[in-house]
Amino acid sequence: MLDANKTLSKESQLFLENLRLYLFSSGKKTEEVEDIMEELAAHLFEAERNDKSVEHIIGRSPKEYMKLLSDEMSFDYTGSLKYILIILFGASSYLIIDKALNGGIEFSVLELIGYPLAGLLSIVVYMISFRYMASHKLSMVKQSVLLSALGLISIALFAGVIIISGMYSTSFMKFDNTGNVIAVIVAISIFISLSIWSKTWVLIIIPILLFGPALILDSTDFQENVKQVLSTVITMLGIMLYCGITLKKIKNV
Amino acid sequence: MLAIIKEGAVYGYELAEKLGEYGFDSLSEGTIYPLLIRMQKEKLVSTTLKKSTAGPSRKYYYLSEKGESELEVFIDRWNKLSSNVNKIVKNKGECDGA
Repeated sequence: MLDANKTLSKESQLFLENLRLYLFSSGKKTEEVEDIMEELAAHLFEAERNDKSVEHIIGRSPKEYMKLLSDEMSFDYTGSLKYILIILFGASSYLIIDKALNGGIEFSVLELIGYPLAGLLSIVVYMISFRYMASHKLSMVKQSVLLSALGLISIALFAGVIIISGMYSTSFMKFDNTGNVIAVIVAISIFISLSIWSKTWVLIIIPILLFGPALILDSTDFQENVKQVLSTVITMLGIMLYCGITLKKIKNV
Repeated sequence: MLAIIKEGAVYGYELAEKLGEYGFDSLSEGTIYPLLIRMQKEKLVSTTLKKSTAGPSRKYYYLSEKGESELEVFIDRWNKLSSNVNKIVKNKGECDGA
């Protein structure tokens, strides 16, 4: 982020943040996005010193201006494919570990087709919604409703696959013990590789928080329902703590 | 825009100001950026980033050789068009006067 952003008015900063989100969710090349962001920040900086408003620079409709810029910029095919593959590989790894810990890895044809399809559909819905949110002035309530709806759509898609697969499908791929161990090692390796590539701990910390408590509590003498409640509470608290620490770090940058 | 850049290297804000001085003040200043992106892609202009003491770095635009020849072609076309339009307008004026 440009230093000048700190000296820009809130209106200009909000416009730049929304523009970044719009261009990013339109799949534009990161280099080109950063280039135009820097140039517009410099323009807004000088315009504000001469008492010009954001409207004077971008016109009456931020949406039209964002589209005008976006139409001139190149679509990043390899970059977008990379992100889609990362999300799909990450989700698959999570699924593999989850199945291995809960009775062994077993997939039906419907699951093998349904999960990637549900993942892709979720990504498309998120990208369209982020573009909409970036180019429209939405109240906090409307934003929260939209984000919740997005979460529900993703959950509904994946739940749909699980339910339909449970009703109509028979097992297509079942791993034996060695297969389970190998698949888990591959899944963990994917998490580690993705973390190294994206230079963030999130892909390692979240699976640990999701699976760790249940694994540790399994070796204790607590009752089954106590184990479940405890592992859920520890997972939730852990994720909240991690989000809190991350937010604090971002604010301090 | 090519003609203004030909006068000397300019950065975005400066270019918008100059356009305003030439009478294009009804346009939003930001509309120059989509055009500048296209001009860069078509290699009509080249750019350099220079640090500014007054704020963030500025991206300066220079006219490339291709840009110069494109400008010449445009000026030729424009001269022909405006001379033809002038002839029509003048002719219409004479007809109305008669």
